Amino acid sequence: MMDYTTLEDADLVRLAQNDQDAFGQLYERYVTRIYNYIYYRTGNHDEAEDLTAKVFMRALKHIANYDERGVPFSAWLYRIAHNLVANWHRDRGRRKIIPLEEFMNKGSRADMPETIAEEREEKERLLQAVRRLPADRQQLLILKYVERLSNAEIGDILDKTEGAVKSLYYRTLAFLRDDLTDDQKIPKG
Amino acid sequence: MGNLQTILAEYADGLANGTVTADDLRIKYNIAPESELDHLLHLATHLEQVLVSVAPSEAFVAELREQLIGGKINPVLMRLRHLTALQVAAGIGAGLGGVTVVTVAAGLLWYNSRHRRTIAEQPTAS
Repeated sequence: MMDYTTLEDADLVRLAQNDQDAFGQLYERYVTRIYNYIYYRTGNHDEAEDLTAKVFMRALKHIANYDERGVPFSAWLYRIAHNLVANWHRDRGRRKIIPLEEFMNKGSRADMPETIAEEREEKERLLQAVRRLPADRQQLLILKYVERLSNAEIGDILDKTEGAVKSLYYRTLAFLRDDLTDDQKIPKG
Repeated sequence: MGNLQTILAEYADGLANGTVTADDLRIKYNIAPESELDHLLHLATHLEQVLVSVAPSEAFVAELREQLIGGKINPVLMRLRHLTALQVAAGIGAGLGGVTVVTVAAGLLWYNSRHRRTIAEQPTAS
């Protein structure tokens, strides 16, 4: 039996067109990453699962037509995810803030020590601010911080040069800072 | 500005590897307190603390894997939960060329199992 774990993505993609186990290996490699991306873009566990499933269903359906040509498989998956999330937002008119109720600890604020409650609120403010960013900047932050990708890897996914990613990262931070410090929501410390 | 971008990129890479702190860079580059770069380093630190990897539930991962490559479901029928019964019945025969035909029961099982999932099966930080 072939050991798929040692194969590169490009080899697995070629095999996956006739071998479901090869696609299964690709799935195992990317399901958490895609789920994370969608989870932060939607702020909802159930929606993240639904859309993650749709991403891989779509990938499976179109794997025969996928041609690398400079677009890594991971980038292709993220683009599918990006499009599905964009459609989700459009269909639901959800360009407004979505509180991450599931992400934060349960329990009423009144029961929490004040410092923990304040930290929780500060985290939520930052997450809300991230979600107010344009989609490509949200994607950049998720890929950089959650997925820990390099600027070169992010560039492959966003179809930008490494320098452009570096510049976009700086502008994104500056934008966030301006958004958050209007009311001095980020205390310096 | 180029230097700002370079230092911020260095910090982001260092965060990912756990090899550098904001204070290391403040010392290395003599970054003034309350300067733009100082604020952006603080923000980057904050983002790193907030944007953490969240693992999907193991049940979801296993279930979806089975659906994808277990040969038990037609990807088209993943939309079952959005269709009426009549549409489902009409769609059964269509399928996709070369894709294994599935049963309605398998699709309804997927739908039911997802909606039965309880709060206890929330994703855990990883």
